[in-house]
Order: sequence, then C-alpha cells, then structure tokens
Amino acid sequence: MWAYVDFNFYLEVVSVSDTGLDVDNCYFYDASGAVDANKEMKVDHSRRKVVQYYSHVDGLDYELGHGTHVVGTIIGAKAVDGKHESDGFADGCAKSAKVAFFDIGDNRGSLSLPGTIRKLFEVGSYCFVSPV
Amino acid sequence: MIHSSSWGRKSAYDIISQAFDKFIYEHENFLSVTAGK
Repeated sequence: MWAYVDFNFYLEVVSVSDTGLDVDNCYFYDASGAVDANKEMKVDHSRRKVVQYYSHVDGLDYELGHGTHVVGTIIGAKAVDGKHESDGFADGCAKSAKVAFFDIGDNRGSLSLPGTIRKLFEVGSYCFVSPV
Repeated sequence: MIHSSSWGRKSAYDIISQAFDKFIYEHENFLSVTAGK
C-alpha cells in the first residue's frame, strides 16, 4: 500500500552513498561556489543542496549516473541560476532537504565500498549534533 | 539519520549485509534504505 505524504523536510539532511553526484546539475547547482569534494568530514549547512561531498572514489558521477538520479529523486530542487528555486518536473520527494553525499563509484559506475560499513555511515553523521 | 544505499546488492546475506544489520541494531536513530534485487 502506498500513501502519498508531503515530506518537505525543510533543513533536514539525508545521507546518500552512490556512484557519484553531478553537482552542476540544475537540481543541485549552487551559485555560491563549487562544491568541495574531498576526504574530510567537512559540512557546510549554508549550501543550497549539497552540504557534504565525501570523495571516497573520484568525486564525480558518470554521464546520466545512478547517484545523480537517486539524489535528485530524494532532494532535487531545480534552480537554473543556482539560487532561485522554481518548480521542476523532476523535483525530489523531499525537495527542501539537503544531502550529505558519499561517493563510492568510478567513472564507469563500478562501486568500491570503504573498509568498514561504519565508515560509510559515519561520514554523513557529522551533519548532526551527535555523530554516530 | 536516514541513509540511502540504493545501489543494492545481488549477493545473498553476506558479511556486508551482516555489517548493515549490526550497525542499525546498535544505532536506534539510524535508518538505512537499501535497494534489493
């Protein structure tokens, strides 16, 4: 059974691990500057959509990538200029939420997990008051 | 905290699946959404 619920999740952060994320896509683009993909736990809640990008593999997604699709489905919110949001036909189900992204894919979509599952989950938890 | 692991897995219940379960059991406020095939 499926019931539609209007989840806006304003200011919530969803953690996602996947093949990569095209941060220049209009559903994530942020005019305030480039997203810093790195191997630090840095979090910037002031960003429009991507508050953290942990580059476990390469910091990129492949063309029409799975990770970009998944993150768009969850938190995507169209803003062609990276600032002013407008209704997009592919807006996410929680379009007011943001993402903490953990990149586990190379440029062909092959996946590489970290040594421990804890690492996979721990990085995104730095977006919260009490990390795991 | 919600984590999407929608890359899924083809294998049976293996050591990675066990690690997922263990982590979720130890962290009551953590929800992992994982694709199944």
